[in-house]
Amino acid sequence: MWIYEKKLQYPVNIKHPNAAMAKLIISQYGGPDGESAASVRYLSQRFATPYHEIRAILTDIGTEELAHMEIIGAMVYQLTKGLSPEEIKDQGFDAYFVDHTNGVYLAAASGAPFTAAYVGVKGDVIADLNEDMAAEQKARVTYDNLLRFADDPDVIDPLRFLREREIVHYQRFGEGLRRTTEHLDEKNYYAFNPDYDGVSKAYARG
Amino acid sequence: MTSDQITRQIDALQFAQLELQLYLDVHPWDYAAGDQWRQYGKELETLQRRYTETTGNVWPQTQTNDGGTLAWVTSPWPWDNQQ
Repeated sequence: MWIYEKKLQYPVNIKHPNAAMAKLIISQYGGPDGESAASVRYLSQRFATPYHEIRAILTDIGTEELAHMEIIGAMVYQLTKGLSPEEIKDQGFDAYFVDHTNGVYLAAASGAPFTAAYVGVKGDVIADLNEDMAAEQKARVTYDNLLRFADDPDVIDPLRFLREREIVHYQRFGEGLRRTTEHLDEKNYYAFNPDYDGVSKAYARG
Repeated sequence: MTSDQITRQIDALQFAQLELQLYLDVHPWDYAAGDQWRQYGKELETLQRRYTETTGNVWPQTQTNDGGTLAWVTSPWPWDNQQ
């Protein structure tokens, strides 16, 4: 279960709306490497994960990603608030506006709607953790790309914060992968999927 | 301390605790890091008490922890521009 705390993990107070920027940033809401995909990826992977440390890190990072989804949603919301029809058209937001008005929809920068195909859940802790490390790097690159187009400090600040979190998560997943390989049979130096049934039983016995 | 200063310090401590929490997930036997996590927790409790004394509200503001007021519904939502 979860308890909601009525605050943002990092403040978002954007003084100058900019729908063109919102159209790009929304990719971190509903795009292929966005925060929503990250959250459901980790929160879904954890069920079949054999090791308790990995269940813990997937739960906690998956939870933090929900807070990041909220930060991106706040940014898109504030960037598109109070614009005239002319401004919406000039800033290239008219096509989105026709379908969603000022609602924050799960879509990529290209307009492609969110799909579960963005989320990898293989049920194999080695495959999943490698997927997660790649996902954090891809999200970091997306933030780097967004920062190339951002010139407003109110926008740059939260984007930088979120970019740094991708780097930290990558590090923690890397440590999780190392711990996972330490759990493997010493003969398993190619790091194949461990015997997860046996491991789960061992944990259940305590 | 003003309520804004307390809020900023709580934010910072919560973030420091989260950082340690992620680290401890994959290093659960690092007792020094665990001690630091508990130390931040104690400091948070003190600051949360001070926040309640200063503002009359309870921190953190959750659905079930609103200090018996309507603050949960009526206070600004986090995505509203606070400036």
